[in-house]
Amino acid sequence: MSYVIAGYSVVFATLGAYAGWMLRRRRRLSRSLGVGSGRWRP
Amino acid sequence: MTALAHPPPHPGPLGWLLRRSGVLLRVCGLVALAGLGATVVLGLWLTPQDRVMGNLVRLLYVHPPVAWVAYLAFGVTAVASLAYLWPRTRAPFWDRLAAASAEVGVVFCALTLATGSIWGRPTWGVWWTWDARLTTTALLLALFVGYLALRRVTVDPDARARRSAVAGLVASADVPIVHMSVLWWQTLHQAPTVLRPGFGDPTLATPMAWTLLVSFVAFTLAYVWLVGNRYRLAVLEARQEDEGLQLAIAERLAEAGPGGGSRPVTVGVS
Amino acid sequence: MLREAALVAGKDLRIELRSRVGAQQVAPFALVVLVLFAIAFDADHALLQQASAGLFWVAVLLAAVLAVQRSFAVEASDAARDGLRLSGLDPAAVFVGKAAAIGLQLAVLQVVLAAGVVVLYSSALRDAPVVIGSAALATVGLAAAGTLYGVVAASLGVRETLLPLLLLPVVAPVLLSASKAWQAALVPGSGDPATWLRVLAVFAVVYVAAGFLFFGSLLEES
Repeated sequence: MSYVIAGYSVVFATLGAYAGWMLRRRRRLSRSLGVGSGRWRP
Repeated sequence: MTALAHPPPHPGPLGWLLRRSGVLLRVCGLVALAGLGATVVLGLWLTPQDRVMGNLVRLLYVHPPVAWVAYLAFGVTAVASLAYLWPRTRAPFWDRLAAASAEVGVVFCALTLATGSIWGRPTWGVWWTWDARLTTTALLLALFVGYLALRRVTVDPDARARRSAVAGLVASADVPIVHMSVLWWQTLHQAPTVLRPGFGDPTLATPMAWTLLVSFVAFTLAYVWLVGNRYRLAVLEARQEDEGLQLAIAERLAEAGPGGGSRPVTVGVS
Repeated sequence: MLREAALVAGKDLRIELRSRVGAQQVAPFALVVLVLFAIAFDADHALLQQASAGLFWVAVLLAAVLAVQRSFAVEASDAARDGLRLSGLDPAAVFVGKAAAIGLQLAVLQVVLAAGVVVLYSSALRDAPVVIGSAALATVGLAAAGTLYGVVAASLGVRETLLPLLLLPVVAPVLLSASKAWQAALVPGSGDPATWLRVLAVFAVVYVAAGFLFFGSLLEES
């Protein structure tokens, strides 16, 4: 049963970490790019 | 290189989808999360043990779905690479989709190997065995790690897109060959001792079958959510590249000063 | 097209003949690999004999990576690659020419390595048609895949590390099939080489086709 727990934990921990990394990076980039506001240079 | 404040509008149903993509993605994510939660609850508590494998059968609800998603992800990368190379459908959308799917695919592929290994240890007594499926999956991982490495090294977005598309397509073409050869290799070595936890048994416990279905759907939706978000991240990263480039150009021009740009503006590296 | 391919192949081979990098560096490297295997396996004669086929092909694969890198490195200087692009040669011909040159060098290398395996591992080469046929098919596949990935990696600064990572997993089926085919030939009674020859043939066809399709656009990019 410990193997089962290990298996499930590996899967969900990895997916969670990956999702977390993506969302954090997205937030950081949208903030620095000021998406939505007109900070574009032609 | 023009910096657009908004992406060019897409016509038709694809456009409708893309405009609603934010909401759709969030819904997808929530449903996936619910599904994954259900999988855990069902898988770890509410389903019975297997007659043969005992509690280990619970890994049935993570290993095959994760493997399926890995193959799905690489399939999407292959199709997206093809779509990018086809002159009529060439668009940055396909390149970014291919990259996003490949990255998610690598994660799921690694998870496939990890869960396979974790399942194998108590079952076969070893952490690894060279059966056809594991070997093919390991090579698949190597192929796409190489693909991602290639993307990271190429700086110019157009060259990167073209090169990666070819590399992605050519690597995908290799997959059936790998599968074919490894399968023949392994059927020579051992009798097909594939893990079949009561599959051949027509009385596969219904809770198990339902949980399996839920887990497949949940992981697939999780894949869609991850790729959708990774794609959006790719769009943001592209904009950042753009902006960084323009900043560099502007600075260089400012450097050149009122005396005129006698110094050549060199941006980008080979 | 064939004449243009012969031109390109001739150029590459002439450079090789004059610089002798293949003879003086790649072949010795491959032989050193054979020796390293013997050391790693504690000079277990029986084991080495049994494993000859596989060890031979691993050595060939590693040497092939070097040969491919060399083939594209010769054009890295003096904007020779630009010259190749602007020469008006049919890109498919360039592909065939470069692949043929690499293939020929690999073939010579294989003869040397086969001698090495016979001498160092005391293995006996039998069943010439299978041995030569599978080697020929494998070489075509290796050369085609190598040329394709070689041009992808050619202009990158990290080419030395990226090329092996890209190429070796792709040619894993060649390693597998060629080893099995040679094993079937060298160790009588260890199976039928027909399936493996088929896999080698499929691989060769797929990668030659891929080269024809994509080498041109990749050359433009590099």
